[in-house]
Amino acid sequence: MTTTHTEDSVSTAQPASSFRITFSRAQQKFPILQLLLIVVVLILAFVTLPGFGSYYSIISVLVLAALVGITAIGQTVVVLTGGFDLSVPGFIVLGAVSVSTIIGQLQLGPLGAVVMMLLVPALLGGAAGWLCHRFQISPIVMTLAMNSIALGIAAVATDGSVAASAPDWLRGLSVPVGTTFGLPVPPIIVIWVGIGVLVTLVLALTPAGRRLYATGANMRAADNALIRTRWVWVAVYAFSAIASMVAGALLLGFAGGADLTLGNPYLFLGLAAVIVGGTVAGGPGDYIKTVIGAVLITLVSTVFIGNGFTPADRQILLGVIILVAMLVYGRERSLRDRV
Amino acid sequence: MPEPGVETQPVPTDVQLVIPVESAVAQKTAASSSRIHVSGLCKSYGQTVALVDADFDLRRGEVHALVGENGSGKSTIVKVLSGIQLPDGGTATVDGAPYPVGSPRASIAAGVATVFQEVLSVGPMSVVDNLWLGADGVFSKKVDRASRRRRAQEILAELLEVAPDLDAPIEELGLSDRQACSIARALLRDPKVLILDEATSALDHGTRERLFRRVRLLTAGGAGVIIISHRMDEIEDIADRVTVLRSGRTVAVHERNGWTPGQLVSEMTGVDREVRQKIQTRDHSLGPVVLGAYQMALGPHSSPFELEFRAGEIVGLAGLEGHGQDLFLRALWGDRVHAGSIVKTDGERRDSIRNRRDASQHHIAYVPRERRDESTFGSMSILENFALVTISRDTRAGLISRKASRSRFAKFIRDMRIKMGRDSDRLSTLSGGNQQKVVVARWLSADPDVLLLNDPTRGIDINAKRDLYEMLGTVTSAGMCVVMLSSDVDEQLELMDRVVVFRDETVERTFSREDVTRESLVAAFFGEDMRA
Amino acid sequence: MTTITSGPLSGTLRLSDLSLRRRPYLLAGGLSLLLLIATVIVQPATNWSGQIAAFAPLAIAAMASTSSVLGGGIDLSISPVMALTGILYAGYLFPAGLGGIEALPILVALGALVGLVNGFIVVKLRLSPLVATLAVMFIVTGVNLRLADRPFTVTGDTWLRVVSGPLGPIPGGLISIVIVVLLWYALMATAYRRSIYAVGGNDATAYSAGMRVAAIRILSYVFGSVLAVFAGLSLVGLTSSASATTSSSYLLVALAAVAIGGTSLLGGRGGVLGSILGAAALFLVQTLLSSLGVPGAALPLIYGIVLAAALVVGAAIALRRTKR
Repeated sequence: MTTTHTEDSVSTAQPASSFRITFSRAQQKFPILQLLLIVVVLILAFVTLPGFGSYYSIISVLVLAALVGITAIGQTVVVLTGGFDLSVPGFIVLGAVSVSTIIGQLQLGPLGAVVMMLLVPALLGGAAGWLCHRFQISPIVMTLAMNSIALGIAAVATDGSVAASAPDWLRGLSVPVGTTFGLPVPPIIVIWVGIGVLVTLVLALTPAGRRLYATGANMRAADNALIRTRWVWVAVYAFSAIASMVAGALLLGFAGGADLTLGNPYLFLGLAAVIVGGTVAGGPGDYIKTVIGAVLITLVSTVFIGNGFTPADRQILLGVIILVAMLVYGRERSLRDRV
Repeated sequence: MPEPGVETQPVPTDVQLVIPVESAVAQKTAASSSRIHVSGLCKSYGQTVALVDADFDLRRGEVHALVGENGSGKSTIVKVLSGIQLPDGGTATVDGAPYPVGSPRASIAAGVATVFQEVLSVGPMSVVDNLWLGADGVFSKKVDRASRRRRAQEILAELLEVAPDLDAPIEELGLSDRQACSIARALLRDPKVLILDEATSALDHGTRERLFRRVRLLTAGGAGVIIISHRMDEIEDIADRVTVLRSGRTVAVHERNGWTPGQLVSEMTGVDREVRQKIQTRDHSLGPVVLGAYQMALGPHSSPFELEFRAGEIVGLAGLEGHGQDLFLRALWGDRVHAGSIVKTDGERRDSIRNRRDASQHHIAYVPRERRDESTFGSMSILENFALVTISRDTRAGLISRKASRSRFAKFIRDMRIKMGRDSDRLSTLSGGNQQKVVVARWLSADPDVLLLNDPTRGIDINAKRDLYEMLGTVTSAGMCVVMLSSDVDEQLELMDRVVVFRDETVERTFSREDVTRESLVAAFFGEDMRA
Repeated sequence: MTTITSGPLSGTLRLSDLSLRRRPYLLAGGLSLLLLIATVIVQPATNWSGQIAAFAPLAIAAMASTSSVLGGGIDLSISPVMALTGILYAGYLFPAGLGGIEALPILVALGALVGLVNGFIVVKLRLSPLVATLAVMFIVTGVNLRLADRPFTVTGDTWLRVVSGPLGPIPGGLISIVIVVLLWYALMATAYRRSIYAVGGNDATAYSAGMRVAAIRILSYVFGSVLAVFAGLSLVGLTSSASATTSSSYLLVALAAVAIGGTSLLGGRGGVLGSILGAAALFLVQTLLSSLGVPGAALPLIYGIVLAAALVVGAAIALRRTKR
């Protein structure tokens, strides 16, 4: 009879306090810490920013959060599979330029526009995902290359010069006083909510979402479980590229115009939203966490800038926040445990 | 039976000795002083207890073997002695002084050199640089170029007869030569203690012999050698003493010729000598052949063999590590690691299984060996882990219904006695045994005709094993065919209708349930015939 | 010719396979040569001194990136450190009268500090090098924007002219490249060379052999950042100006140069010669294209494609190697 000691054996060091256990269990399921921080920052905002608290000031923050949130959809899904997508800025610019210039230039009808906005990023992103999986290339460097390609296409299309400004209907989507079918909420927020619900649903409740999580959690086990992980990667990176294109179009409306640097802040803003929200590379995580993360960092940005700090300061702060969040969620195994 | 007493080889005069000058002094001092003394060592990895109260003593000039099953703690002792892991408690000394724990650099500086089972080498780096890894400081070169090359050449010539090109990238060498280089690296440090942690398994026969010659030279000079090995013949050949570990404790220490393989096995496994009731009588009749392997050759030089598996059978694959049973099992799943054909029979249809997709389409399921690397999604919930492969059965209008997964899972929870909290908890909260049950349930829920299991009960507590055995008994009574690789001799004896022993990548012998005994089974591992 | 005696791929290695594996810079070298010949053909009147001066920051940035990559990591903060160097020199040190050679140790110390921070976060705090240096990149870029909301220019003669303008018959850019190469080889002449290749090749092996893995890896980040300082100075010398955005494209091109040059992103393989040749190849692509009249707007597209192709080729070769 074998009586080998196994993981079932008892007698370990003193157990962690029960509060800590319940808290970390709850925190895993729902980002309590982040919500608390939102409350804290909201209070800070009320106190330090004059005029904050009016309906439209809140809506303005939500509009900004929506922009970050939409650009972070693709990033969320990519991070869930264990990668990082650095091509977000490039596709944002390509999306903006497509709407403002390319579609007009090439005289594409509605069908052509759809092809441009969906097929081009799908092919580029999908190719990146396929190549990374097939050749075991780090997604960070490949998406860095893809970023350059997307940006390059936009640059070639506009000859490197500033793109024309946005059509009025597009601008109307993100005006704070805008309304959607009578509701006193600008359309962009409704769009955000809609896309967010859809993405969350697919991730949580469909077999495809389940396979995505499995691929991110343990690719080898996913292969063994007969999941076609290569196609998961293709789909994920294609989706991220499409999402960034769409986000770019919406950003065009918000900003009123676009140049090649339009997408740059949204790389770290989107990544910060995902990481601060609590999604870990490879899972667990979901889009709701990213939404909360987006709201939190937008609020932090607003308070920061409202109190006289510059966008540059905000960038520094967010870099620090990303580091801190990674320390909580994403440390690697020590060398001892890898020998 | 092995010959008592192994004659010491005369010291060859043409070999440059790489041993410390203290040899003369060492021979004068009595061999009673310890090189290493460990007492009451404890070590846990999170919830898993690896060592509880381990004692170990290494004398000057002796070769001391450390044996035990997987999970007995022998590798943990090595990791503590080599500095990779920090112990939680206990005392250890080296040459009377306190043991410098927690840093490989400190251990090496104290004269303890370790060679691990996994071949550790820096692939793109040259052979000579690999041999001298760690000898320099971060910036300072401590050994001059000429000496480096000369001593490397010498030690490699001694171990390998033909030394490889010193400047070739080590990744161009074969596995046995690369392991020899790792051993050479340890030897070049003039160690006072050499630890070989299952380091010989990758070596070919000739190199192993030359290594043992070097080991005897080392010990003649007063150094101590710790060897971990599963191979009885090795231990008999080289070990002066044997320490047996079980469940993190030292259970026995034997002097040379004071033990037999059977005794060691029983001390390792803790079997008491009463005759035990086998878990079930397996008297249901077997169905037709469902899976067959024909003209199977697992390696370029191995003898071809043929095996067939019938519905309702449980067949065990056995043998020493790395003798082909793992390759064969994976071949049954469609991995092309072999020459020959795998054929699935379904009534009248006979289909070739050429890849994993074929296998799954023909209802062959596979439970991999390394649970954490190959099966489990620790960060996902228990229910999700269960339902993953068959998730499409739980969808209503495209959306997953948790209720549906739950009701399917309930049957397995009950039948396999899976102990858990809520099914929405992470899988990593379960014990190893229960995790494995979930994995097996995952595949059983796919209704396979053939279930392949790769050492599923390794490191699992006895109750979980029993639950799994019961489940396997149930499904085979219903007609499933089970092929199970097992490194547990008791399991082979208890569970299987047939046991197929692999040796040197081919079938050595097949036992039926009636005529298998522990001695004959273990003997077959070593190629000895114990039919009496 | 080596014969592999075991495993499914036994037999003699193909000649091309062997060369590229043992001398990974050959691909970049061959490419550079071809491009060089093409450039000379298309535009025989190329101002080589000016070209080398423009090439120098890129070459040095590639060398800076090589340091951390060899150790198995990556440093995405190289380009903002370059910009920071330029900004501090042009906008703060020079106007304060510290524009002489005394600026060098100050800037080097600062670069080393950034490298130390990177190394600490990656090695001691155990964050992934990609994310850690990405976050540091954000932070340093923010600092740059803060320090230089408008571009600075350097007026008048400074010792930096040496690195850009010709010194007699020698092109200035060549001097700066040579200085950095000398620095590199000085470090690699010590046991550090074996140390970094071991840690990058298989850190578990290095650790178990008793090497000081942490110190070696942190040093690779420090050295990389110090070289980035030199790249930044070279850039200021070239353009006589500094802004927060001037070097943002260097990251991509530097990484592409490293990848094309045969240095594996996994560590332990390749070297600085490959990175310089890779940088040369990429630079010559740009020169050739502009000589051919291709608009500058097409450059990001082409660079992106070249990087993607280099990554795939490099990975394909690496995969074939590990299948043994």
